[in-house]
Amino acid sequence: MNSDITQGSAVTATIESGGLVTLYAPDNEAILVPADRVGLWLRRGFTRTAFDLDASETETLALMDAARAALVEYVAGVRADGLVDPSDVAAKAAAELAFTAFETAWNRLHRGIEEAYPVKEQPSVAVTRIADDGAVQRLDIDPSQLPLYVQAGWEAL
Amino acid sequence: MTTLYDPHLGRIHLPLLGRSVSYAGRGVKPAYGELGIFVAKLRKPVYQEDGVILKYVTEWASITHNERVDAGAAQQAKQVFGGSGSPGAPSATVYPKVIAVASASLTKAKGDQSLGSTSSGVTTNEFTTIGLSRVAANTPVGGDYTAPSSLGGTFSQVLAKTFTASGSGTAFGAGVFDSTTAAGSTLYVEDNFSSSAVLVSGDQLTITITITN
Repeated sequence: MNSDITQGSAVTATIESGGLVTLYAPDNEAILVPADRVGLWLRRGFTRTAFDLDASETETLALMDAARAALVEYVAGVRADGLVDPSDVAAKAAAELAFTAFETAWNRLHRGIEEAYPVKEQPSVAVTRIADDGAVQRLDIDPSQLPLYVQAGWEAL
Repeated sequence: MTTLYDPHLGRIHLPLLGRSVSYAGRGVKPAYGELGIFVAKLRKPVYQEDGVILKYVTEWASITHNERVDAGAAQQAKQVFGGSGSPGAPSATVYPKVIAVASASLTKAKGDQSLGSTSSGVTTNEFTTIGLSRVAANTPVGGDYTAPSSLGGTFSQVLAKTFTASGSGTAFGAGVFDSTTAAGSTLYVEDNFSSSAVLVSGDQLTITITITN
C-alpha cells in the first residue's frame, strides 16, 4: 500500500481520529501503531511509506542534482566577491541541507534494497585435506573463504 | 537549528550554521540572522493500466536559500513588536502564510513587493492559473515550529504546500505573501529554484519553506 500523505497531514488526521497509523519496516512489512507512538517507531527505522525501488531511485537522483546545484551556488557566491557574506552563509546552509537530504534518500535506497531484495547466493565449494591421523576431511565452504583454506593446507575439489 | 520538513523523507535536522563577525579591538563572535531554505520537488504520477494513479515519483528537486525582502522584514517587525505605520499593527489573520509560484525567472531585489517586482500587488511573474495560483500553506501543525536549542538561539518555522498542476507550465521559483489576494498583499521572501520545473497536468509541485530566525 503506497501512501503519499505528508507527515504533518497524517499526524493531524490520526490525532483527531484517535486511530492507528500504518508504518513500514525496511522489508516493507506493514504494521499499525498508535498515533502517539509514531515518533518512537520512526526512530526505530520504520517509515511512513513502503519502499519502492523506482520511486526511491528517482528521489535520490533528483536530490543529488539539487545538492550539486546548491554546492555550485555556494561556491559561486564566494568566488564572485571573494568574501563570505550573509548570502553565502545561507547558501552554505542550503547546501548542507541538500546533502543531508540526499544522504537520507541514499541511505533509504540502499537499505531498502538490502532489506527488500534477496542476496544472490553462490554454491558452496568443497575442500578436502588429509588430517594428522590420516583421515580424509571434507568441508563445504563459502567461495570467498577458499584462499584462506588453501593457505591452511586444504585443497578444492 | 534548521529543520527540513520533507514530506517524503521525513524530518531532517541541520545543526545551526553560524557565521562570525569581528570589529576592531574586539574578539570574534558568532552572528546569526534571517536564514531560510526553499525546498521544491516535482512529483509525477505513475498510472495503473486502468488509469488510476498508482504512485508519485520525484523527478526534480531544488534546494536553495530564501531571500527576505524589505517588506517582509518590516512586516515581521510589526507583527512581533507592533506599532504604527505600514504594514500596520499586528494582525491575527494577515501574516506570511501564502505561497505563490513564479512563472518567470525572478530578478530579486531587496525592495521587491511582488515576485521579482518592486511594484505592489502585481502578478507579472506569478502563476494565476493551472492549479499553481497562490494559496495558503498547510495549516501549521505541531512540529512545524522548532524551538531554539539554547538561550538566544534561532527558531525555525516551516511553511509547506503541494500544488497539483491542471495544465502545462514551467515553475521558476516561489515566494511567500500574507494574502491570497494579490492587491495589497505583502511579500515576505522570494527565491528562484536552482533550475526550472516543467509541469504537465497531474504533476505535483511540493514547496517547503523553512524560515530560521
